[in-house]
Amino acid sequence: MKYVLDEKEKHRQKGLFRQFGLLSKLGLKFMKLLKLSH
Amino acid sequence: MANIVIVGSGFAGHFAAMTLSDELRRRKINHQHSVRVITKTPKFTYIPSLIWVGIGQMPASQTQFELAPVYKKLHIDLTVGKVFEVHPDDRYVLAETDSGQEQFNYDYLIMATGPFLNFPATPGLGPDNGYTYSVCTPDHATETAHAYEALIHKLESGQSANIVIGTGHGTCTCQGAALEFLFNVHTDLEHRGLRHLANMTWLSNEPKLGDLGIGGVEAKRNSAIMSSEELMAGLFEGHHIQYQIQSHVNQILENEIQFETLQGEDKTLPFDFAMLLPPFRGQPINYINAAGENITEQVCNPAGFVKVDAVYGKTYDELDGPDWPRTYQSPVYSNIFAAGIAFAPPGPLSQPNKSPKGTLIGPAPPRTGFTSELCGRAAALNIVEMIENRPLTHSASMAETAGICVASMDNHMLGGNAMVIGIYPVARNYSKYPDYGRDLDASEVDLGMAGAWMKRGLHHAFMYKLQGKPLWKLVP
Repeated sequence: MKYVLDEKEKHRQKGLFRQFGLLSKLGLKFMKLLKLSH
Repeated sequence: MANIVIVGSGFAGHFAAMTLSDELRRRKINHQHSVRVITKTPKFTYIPSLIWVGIGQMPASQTQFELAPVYKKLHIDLTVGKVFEVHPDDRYVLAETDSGQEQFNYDYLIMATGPFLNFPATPGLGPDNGYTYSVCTPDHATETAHAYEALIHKLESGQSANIVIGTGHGTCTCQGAALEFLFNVHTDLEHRGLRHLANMTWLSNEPKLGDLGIGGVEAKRNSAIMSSEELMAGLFEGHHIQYQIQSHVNQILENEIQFETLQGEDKTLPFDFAMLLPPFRGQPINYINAAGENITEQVCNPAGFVKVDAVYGKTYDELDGPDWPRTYQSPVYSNIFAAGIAFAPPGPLSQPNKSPKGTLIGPAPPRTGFTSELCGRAAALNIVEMIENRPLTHSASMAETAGICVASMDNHMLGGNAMVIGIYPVARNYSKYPDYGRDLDASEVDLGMAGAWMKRGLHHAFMYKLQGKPLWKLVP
């Protein structure tokens, strides 16, 4: 899989509403990883 | 009454101290036992934020707090001093303090010293006796910020510059920190409109791009599997950053880095500004037995890290999950534990290689941050078990715990960026996960402004938690 840093990807990384979604996803993922580690 | 001594106050040592204080109090036996931290510095430093200090975006003071009031609150004794000898048969350590040489007796000992920054391993490396900069300590990072400011002035005058960031030796670890600095410099120069004047190069000992000292990362993205190698290659291409990996720096002159490649070629890189991490060694602490003999070689591995309950002596290809330590107890002295960077790993997480000249070029395994915290916690809780004559039940094997890393790329709340990495487990465990050694569904790699929010949030959360402020235990 080739990762391409084009304008679409740059927008994906900075779009405000999309980032709130990412924050939620990451928060849940990290809680899972913390639970696996304790 | 048990005297518990912890040497070091970084993530592992400080967290071990807090855990001990809390657990002894919870079991209502805190008045029967004492916890003492012996540390070289009277302040805790939140090292992950030193990259921002290095580019002048944060003063070092915002990454630090005084340990004395925190330890007073938690009923932990504090000694500011440098431990130079451990006498495990007679159960005491010797430290140089402001009062001179002092002896501290112990019943249980946690070595959580962190690394000795081995700048001397590469002639010309480091800010003290060399030509390159570092973000490993607050003083180094502050000095780097001044040098970076001078670089900015140079670029603003219209001059161009060669910037090299990475690792300053073939066996370095902590590639993640150097990558953070690289990307932060890149984005800072972009924000200033100066990026086009800087020729940026990533120089590292990684066997492949995106290795990060952990053999790289794979994670599922929808129905595909993305690797950190592919991600990093795309980022470097998109940001016009050159890279030279599989390299061992063997000498640094005033404006030239001399290095050897894995193919055995001797090459050079010119630089105007360079930040290269040093390799790590164990702290220069000798272990002396009752007969006065130096037994450091029995207690530590050749690099000076304390051996624990790992399976040592296996090659990279033979090593697997069950070989990684779980309790962090010394196999030589059962009342000694080692946590964080101080413990001797059984081997690398990343493919080691040798050049045709026999030069070892391969990252040492990182065991900082979250891993350090888990080790320190496990060691502390296992000591409590020993105090109460119970078997050791607390485990924090790197083959059974997660690695969580948020690598800053641009420290702005609006428009910033960070790479968020989650892996499970840190040390690949093919016994449990035959395909990749890790659970790819649990692993995560992503980029975005949310990562920048998380990175800044982690700074404040940890600074709050580690000062033992109200409800600190709620912060994971």
